[in-house]
Amino acid sequence: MVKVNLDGVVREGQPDELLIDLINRAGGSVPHVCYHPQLGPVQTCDTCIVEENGRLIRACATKVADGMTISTKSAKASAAQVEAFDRILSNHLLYCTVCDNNNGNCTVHNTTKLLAIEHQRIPFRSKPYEVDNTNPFYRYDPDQCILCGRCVEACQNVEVNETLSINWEDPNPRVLWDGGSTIGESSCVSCGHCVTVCPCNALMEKSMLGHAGFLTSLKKSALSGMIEVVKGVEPETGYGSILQVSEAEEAMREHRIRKTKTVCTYCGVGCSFDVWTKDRHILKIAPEHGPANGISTCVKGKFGWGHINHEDRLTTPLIREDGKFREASWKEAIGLVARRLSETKAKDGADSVAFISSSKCTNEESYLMQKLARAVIGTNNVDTYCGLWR
Amino acid sequence: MARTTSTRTVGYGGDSGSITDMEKADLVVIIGSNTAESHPVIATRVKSSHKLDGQKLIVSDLRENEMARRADLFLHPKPGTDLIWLSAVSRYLLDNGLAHTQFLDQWVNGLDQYRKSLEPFTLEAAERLTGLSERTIRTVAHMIAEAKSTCILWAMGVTQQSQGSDTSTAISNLLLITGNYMRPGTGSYPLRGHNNVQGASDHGSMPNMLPGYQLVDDPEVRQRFETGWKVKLPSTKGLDNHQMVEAIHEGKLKAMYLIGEEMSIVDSNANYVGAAFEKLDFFVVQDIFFSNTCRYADVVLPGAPSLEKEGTFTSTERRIQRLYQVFEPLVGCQPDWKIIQDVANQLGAGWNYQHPSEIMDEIASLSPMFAGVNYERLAGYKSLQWPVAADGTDEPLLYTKRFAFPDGKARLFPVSWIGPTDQPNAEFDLHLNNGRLLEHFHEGNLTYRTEGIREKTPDTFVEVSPELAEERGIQSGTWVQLISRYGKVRVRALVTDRVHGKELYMPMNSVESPVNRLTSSHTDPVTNTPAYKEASVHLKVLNEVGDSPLPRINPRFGHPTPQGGVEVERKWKRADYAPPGNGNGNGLVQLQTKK
Ligand code: SF4
Ligand code: SF4
Ligand code: SF4
Repeated sequence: MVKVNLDGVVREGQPDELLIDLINRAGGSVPHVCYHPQLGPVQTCDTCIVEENGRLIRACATKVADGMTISTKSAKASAAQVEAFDRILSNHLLYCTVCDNNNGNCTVHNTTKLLAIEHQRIPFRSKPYEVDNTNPFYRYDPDQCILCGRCVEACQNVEVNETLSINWEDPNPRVLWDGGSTIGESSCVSCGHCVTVCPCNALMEKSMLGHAGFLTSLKKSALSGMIEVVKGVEPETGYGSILQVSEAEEAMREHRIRKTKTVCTYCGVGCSFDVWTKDRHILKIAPEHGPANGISTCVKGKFGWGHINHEDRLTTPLIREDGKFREASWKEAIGLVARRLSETKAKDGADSVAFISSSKCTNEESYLMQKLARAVIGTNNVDTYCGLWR
Repeated sequence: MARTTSTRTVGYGGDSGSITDMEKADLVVIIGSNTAESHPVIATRVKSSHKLDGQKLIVSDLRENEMARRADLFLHPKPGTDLIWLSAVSRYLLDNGLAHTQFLDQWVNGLDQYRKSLEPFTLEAAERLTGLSERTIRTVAHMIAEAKSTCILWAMGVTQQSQGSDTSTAISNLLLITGNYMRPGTGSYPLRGHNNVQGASDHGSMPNMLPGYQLVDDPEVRQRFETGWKVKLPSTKGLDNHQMVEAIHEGKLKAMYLIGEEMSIVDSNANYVGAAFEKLDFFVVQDIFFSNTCRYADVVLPGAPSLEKEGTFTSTERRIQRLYQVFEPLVGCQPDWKIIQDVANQLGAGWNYQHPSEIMDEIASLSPMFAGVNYERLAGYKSLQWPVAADGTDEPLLYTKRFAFPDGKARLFPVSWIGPTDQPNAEFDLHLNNGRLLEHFHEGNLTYRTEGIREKTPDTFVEVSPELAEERGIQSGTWVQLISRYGKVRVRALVTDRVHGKELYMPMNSVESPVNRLTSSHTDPVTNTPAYKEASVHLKVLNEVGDSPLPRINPRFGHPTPQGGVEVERKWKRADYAPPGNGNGNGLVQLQTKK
């Protein structure tokens, strides 16, 4: 156990614990943009700077030590935090109301609010790059990219596909795929880690774009018009009021965006995640708390849900008649199944009937299937199709 | 079936630890598993520990897959010979005093018999039969002996051999003699393919076991279920899926009810299975799409996909997790549990489950293994790793106190080598291996319906080594016909150095040209798992060249840029960078804030 004096209160920490984790656990309000507990310290954003015995340090890159005295609110620390964030805003336009990432969990938006930023000193600088739309599932907008590097860390060291990097030496650094290819022609396997951890709207699932917000499905010209208006208003009123408008809009989203936990339907790893939906549209898959996967997914779990609303879905029972299928009611179909199964059993015995359950079914469904076989028909002829090894 | 193999040696049929143990292990050995494509998120954990934490990695595979490329040691044994080098490693360790004697003394039975069984597995014999050099096998042995903790992961490349379960047993034996059970970072991991393969067998979709791995021919067990279900239960073991197909051909099995598996395609020897379905008097298929199997049905029932129902899945690490209903079922469809209940009730069963949680309560009441499982304990992201005691205690790591046998000790189980079944000869001169692709699940019934996946990975193909391509005049896009002793398919070639020499690889992502038309119905005698991985084929080059079966936008053509991470030090070196609050010489309040 380690004792740390945090803003005048003694807190207990674990040896090896990061200072930022201790601060967060203690309910502190130090900003942090690039830090994500599942990525570890990335140290790019500089917003978590605190004062330790007169020295400025990054809370994310410091392990707690016995007897530390930390001020998160000293004039020096606050000034550094705000300066760091100012630099970030020079890379990002706050058009939250018309942004599909304005869902209460945008780190840039929330940090703006936390620091009570009214105006930025370093003006926004556009980067001389086009938006990259070449991946079918997500897009990268360099102009909104704050260069926090979370995506790079996730791709290099969590997914370990090693596609992403940032060209720090360039006059205009940005995120690169395969060192400078388009996303579409890169080694990117569309696992989605980078999109999941991006703290703003620089990397967005395409399924979110134009769908999450009330105003975000506007035509491009109208959208940039609105962004201009927002920018025009800012010098007058400051960000506070802009954020207020956007938060009113965000609150409206709350009512129509549903977040439901599910477990992946594909492989045996058992990734779990929230599914964000609007009516029957899947806005995105948001992995974070899954005990097996945390922020991780592969392309299938993150983006492979096209089958759900596919037009080929069967929506009515079918019965074969004279070699062709015709549609039937549930009543008729179930009636026929029951009649033929009991006829077969009566004629050739229970063991002339067999059941194959699916390894995609739930546990409860598998249980009922074998109970149907054993307790209702009276046979142990029940298996999944593949034995246990797939 | 895993229940047979790990029940041979350690007791339970399931991964002996958790994904976190694979992450922690000092050494990971992967055998016959294309982990990066078949279990992608498990692969990330291993790749990450290997890259960042100095974890060692040994991979044994026919194909130089991503894990093989990353491995410290890549073994490419002759097809179907993993059992041999594993046993040779065990013998070498025992012979040279490198086994964990204290562990063996305290926890393991059957050493003498096992040692005897290893006699044929000398290094020389292993070299001759596997094609691996003696030196390589010794290196493997020393790496395992020196590692503080070892996990072995394996999958279909082992189990879908005709001696799959014996190879699995050889793995477990090796772990036992090196003391690699009972501790974090150790153990055996027969990775489960489908999301709920584990759960399906846990809950009694097995011809010889009631839910919770309780034998149908155990009178005490049967009585418990008979009391619970208020019926008389059959006491003889039923047919497994392969025996079912046989029984249909023999005219003994007349009616079948099958849920959501593309059995006619993904099953090995697809032709034979299709012919069986045609013979059924009555065939019910329940699925969300009109699958190939549906063509043989008399009645098709529209079920519901995972997002349209509640329930639980159990993953490879024995982890039970809840899924919540995201959407109402499409109008006309029903969750499968409701359909089964309707059929049962139409047959007079009188079931009355209002919600899957009630089914789980019943499961818990009848299976000691799941005694403490209920929906409360699984709320939200909470999960349980079986066995779960009545008080809710679960076991992320098995065997921490004892092995799951009456005397608490593990058992070394001797195995011998027989040799694979479908061997190449002059006519069928190439070895065909098969497996999954990252982007598609199995035949692709679900995944082809995601447009972006189809765009990047539109079709199946056969991987041909550069050497063979050169010899036969094949380029990426050349149409070829593969002919086996059982069937033939037409498919485009992809030339790649992921495969070597006369070994071909064909992923299973196709409904039109399924690779399993080429595979036999030979099965592992112990588990009846089909020997999908053993196929010999003749390759005929067709006079037709198309586009490469994988478009340029497929990630396999990319050029990754490995580096340590975000490399923030490079940012700090920029001339225009100074740490905030320290630069420009003052305390710097540059922004206007309301604070
Ligand atoms: S989607 Fe995955 S592979 Fe692609 S860039 Fe992002 S993290 Fe890397
Ligand atoms: S794309 Fe997102 S995560 Fe990546 S550096 Fe830019 S802002 Fe950060
Ligand atoms: S997201 Fe990918 S790795 Fe995770 S369970 Fe689904 S298919 Fe498996």
